[in-house]
Amino acid sequence: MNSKYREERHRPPYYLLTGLLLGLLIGFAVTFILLPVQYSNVPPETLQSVDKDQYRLMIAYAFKSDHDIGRANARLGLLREENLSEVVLNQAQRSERRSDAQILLNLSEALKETPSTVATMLPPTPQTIIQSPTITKEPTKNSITETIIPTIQTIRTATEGPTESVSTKTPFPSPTTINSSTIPFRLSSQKIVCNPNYLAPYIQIEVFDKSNNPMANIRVLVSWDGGQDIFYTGYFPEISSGYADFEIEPSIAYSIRIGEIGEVVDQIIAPECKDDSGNTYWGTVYLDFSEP
Amino acid sequence: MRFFWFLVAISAGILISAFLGWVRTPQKITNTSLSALRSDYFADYVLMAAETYKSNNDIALATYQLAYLGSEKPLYHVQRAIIYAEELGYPLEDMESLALLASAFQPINTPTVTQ
Repeated sequence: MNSKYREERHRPPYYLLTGLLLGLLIGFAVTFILLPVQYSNVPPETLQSVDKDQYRLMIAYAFKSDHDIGRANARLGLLREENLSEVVLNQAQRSERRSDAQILLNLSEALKETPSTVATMLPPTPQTIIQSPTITKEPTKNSITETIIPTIQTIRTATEGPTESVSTKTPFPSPTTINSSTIPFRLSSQKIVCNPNYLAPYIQIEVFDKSNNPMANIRVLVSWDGGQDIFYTGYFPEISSGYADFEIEPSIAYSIRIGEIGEVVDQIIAPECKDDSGNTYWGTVYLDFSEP
Repeated sequence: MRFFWFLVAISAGILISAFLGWVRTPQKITNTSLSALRSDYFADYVLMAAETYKSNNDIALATYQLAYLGSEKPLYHVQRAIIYAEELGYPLEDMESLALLASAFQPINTPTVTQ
């Protein structure tokens, strides 16, 4: 009797493990299947593939209507894909409706004819800019003809996005006047931005000239252990023409250089922030550079 | 007593999975839908529909395109887009395109004759 009693007492509490597993199963079923997290305020790059297809199709339809390849390029750039022409062509090939396929094909062909710098969503290099004097003039939609696309469209890509109006209201400083390779940009200020609405941690950069005016088309080199990327200011005119941002991984330290000979700011790491409920999330680093 | 701790274990499991599923959301967000677009991208999407409508006057196509933004009526999406577009300072040409699309979705009011 005693020995049997001892055996029962030493038996591991498997029922607790079973209960925990059952709870996990119920919980995961609810949180991932029945009531998954609903995101809002998302950018197009996060769309599911079906919706990305629809987004591309919309761009193709709009392009068919306005024949504005710069605008189509800027819109496609929001999906952050490479080889835009091929992506659109692939979609045309798997399109169910013949009319959609033709519209997408037209866009793909138009994209092929534009310079590769546009297709990869990169603004032109300073050399390219200097070679095209016509870009000092803010182009209007109606003034674009096929012959001037290679020079004007490259700039419109940087200025034109979903909120094209901003670029119309506040024209960017002419890229011909900017030669960022000879400007030793310096860090003016650095601050941590805790905004729970941001979907991911970012490095936000804003570049100003001597008169404190934002500077567009300034090259930004971001590097980290095992990689680097180059981008340019001016993609988000609705924020500022001197603004650019870069999504970062929380556990990686990054370094930034503005222009060719600007000050290098290193050890940039996503800060940890807390919301009102005490939950932690990754914040953003804001860097303000200026021409000395 | 054993049943009580069993329920506690289930509750703990549910709490853990709820935390993982709802609170600790993935760093990289993917698989979102067009209905969740940020206001400026939303306005631009509607503008694309408006540009298309302006050139082909195909209200059925515009309705189909706007249906991706949610189950609300197309006019609701266009009106929202116009509000955003005004806030963002869209140029007149784009505002006109949006207004044209909005008017296409407006119910036609037939004048009532009073005697």
